[in-house]
Amino acid sequence: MLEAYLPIFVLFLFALFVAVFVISFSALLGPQKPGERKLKPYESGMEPIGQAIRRFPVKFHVVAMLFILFDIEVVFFLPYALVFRELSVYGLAVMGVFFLILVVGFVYEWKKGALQWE
Amino acid sequence: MNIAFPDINMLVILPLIVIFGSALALLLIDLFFIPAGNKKITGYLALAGLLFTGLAGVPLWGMEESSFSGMVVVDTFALTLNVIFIIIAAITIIISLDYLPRQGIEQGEFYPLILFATGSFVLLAQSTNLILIFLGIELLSITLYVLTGFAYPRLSSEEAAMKYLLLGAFAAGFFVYGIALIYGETMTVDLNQIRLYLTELESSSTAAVPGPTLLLIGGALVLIAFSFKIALVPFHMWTPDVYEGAPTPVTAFMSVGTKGAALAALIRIVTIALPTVQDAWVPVLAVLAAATMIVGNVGAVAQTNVKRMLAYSSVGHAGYIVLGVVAMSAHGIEAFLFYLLAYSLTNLGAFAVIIVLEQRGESAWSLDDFSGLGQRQPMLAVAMALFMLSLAGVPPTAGYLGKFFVFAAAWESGLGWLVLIGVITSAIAIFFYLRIIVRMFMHEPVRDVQPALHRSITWTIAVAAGAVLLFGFMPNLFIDLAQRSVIALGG
Amino acid sequence: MVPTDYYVLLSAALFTIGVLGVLLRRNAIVLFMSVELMLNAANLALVAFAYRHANIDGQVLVFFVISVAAAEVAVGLALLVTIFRTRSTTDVDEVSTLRG
Repeated sequence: MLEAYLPIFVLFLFALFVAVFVISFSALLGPQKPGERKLKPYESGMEPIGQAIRRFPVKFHVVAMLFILFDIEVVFFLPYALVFRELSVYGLAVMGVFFLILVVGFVYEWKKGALQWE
Repeated sequence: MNIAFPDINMLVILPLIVIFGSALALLLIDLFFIPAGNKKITGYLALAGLLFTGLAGVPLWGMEESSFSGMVVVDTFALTLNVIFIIIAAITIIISLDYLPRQGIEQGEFYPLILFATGSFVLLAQSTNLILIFLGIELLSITLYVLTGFAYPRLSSEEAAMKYLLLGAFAAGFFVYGIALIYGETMTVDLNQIRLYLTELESSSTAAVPGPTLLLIGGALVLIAFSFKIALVPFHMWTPDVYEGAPTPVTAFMSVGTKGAALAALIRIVTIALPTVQDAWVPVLAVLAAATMIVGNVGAVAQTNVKRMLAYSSVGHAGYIVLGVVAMSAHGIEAFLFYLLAYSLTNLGAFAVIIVLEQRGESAWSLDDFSGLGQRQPMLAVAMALFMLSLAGVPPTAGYLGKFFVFAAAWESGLGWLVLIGVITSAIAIFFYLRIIVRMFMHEPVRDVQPALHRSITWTIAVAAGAVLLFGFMPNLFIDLAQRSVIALGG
Repeated sequence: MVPTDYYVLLSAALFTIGVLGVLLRRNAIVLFMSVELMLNAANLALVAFAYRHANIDGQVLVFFVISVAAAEVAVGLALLVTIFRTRSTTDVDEVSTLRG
């Protein structure tokens, strides 16, 4: 049973070997001239402005969350798409009702101004 | 490819169609036609929606049918519960009508959300499939998270919603994993087929075939999730905080509605799917009920905040209601239904009185507010006293009979020790309920509280008090209905 | 060919990690992630069982779990944003005006 995983194990070993090899040899053989410029965040000479970790405006978080919701609802259309011919009119009606409920949500968020950018 | 359509009878889900349809319609009507300062109209429309839902139950009366491949069922048990849920929702809406603008948190979405939550109660009462029960529980929870945080500039409300959501989502994880394990064992999520599987297993059981281990583990996880929703000890720790932080009508709503709906689903699960493995879960549930009665009632003694006290008391009452389930008998289910009705009317009435006394921006709900209420507002004080007596289980109130029925049912099923704990904790409970009555009638007013008595809420309190007395004297009005429900469950 | 039992064991491990995450971590966002882990562990178990039994019910439930989890997280994040506006923290221990 476990023999099936032998190639993966070999791959792991190989990856480990490559990583150790590359890092240790470049450390051993490469020239090392540490200096002030080399330790700067941007070696191109750009001066960093402020901290890298800072707050940024999340105006779009509402849009993002609404997107997730509607995005996920599409999951229910996928199985329908596979069998829509066989289900014919009945399936269409059922999905119509489902879609209608989604539209109610969409109209609600639109009218509430959740999609307004400013 | 040919697809075999299952038998579909739309009549079975008529109450669901009506209530969800009216909730969706109300959401849009409120959005387009109701002006901002006048959201009471939305409330009245929501009441109309509830009325239609009730009417939709009328042609179904006496029907015993399941449809949608056995996922949904309509029977007297479900319809009786529907009536109770509609009463709960209607009272909640009426007591919110003046409360919301007074607290400055009036928004039209409140009423559609109440309708959605009530719809999920109805769904839970009618479903006989684990997928649907999961959906019902989640719909119920998500609407209640929003409702709990409805007073949202107020931090305590947001915080309560957050706590409720985190623990609710945690419980949902247990629920889904439990369903997954049950499904792994039985290959089905349909309650009736789970029972078939178990009876077959029992008849073919030999030493070589192990018992339904996965199913039992899964069942335990599902039970944990339900304990979170019903607030059974030791999964009750969120209850006092959430009940205190939520807007008072929402607290009233979830203290009775959630418990009723979740227990209805639990009853379906244990009576339909798990009667053959009774020995495994009845003792567990009995211990949970005992712990709940003790912790809820003892915890309430220490509270000076009335809203928090009622939260602990509702934990205790959850324990009493579960006694009806643990009994696993026809009388137990009858007792459950009667207790649910009595407790709902009483608790909603008590919360209505708190709402009347609640000032804007006030978050103390101190016992002092009740001091001397007997002199200033004798009628209000008498109503509150009646609700407290009913919660304590003193005759001749509905609460007394409810307790009597659950104790009798548990006794018949040979759970004498549980009844003993129940009686002792009821005696403890009398202490803190009486404390409020003593405050109202024997103390001088400590500070001036201007009760906000509007016509609608006054009538609600009066009707609730009247009903508590009525069912206390004439329980037969409801017992007949409850008995027919039990027949429907095949109990 | 991996036996389905392995998937179930993996899902049990993931579920345990999720539970421990909820119990031990204090940042609300990490709590949400842990809950997601629990739900997805259940999804994995459902799919594995559905495959083993050649039965579709489990996969149907997975769809519902995915969409419900999204709704739950949307509500949770919205709440988190409002709390953050008043409190400037996402640590659940610091948000405790109610005595727990």
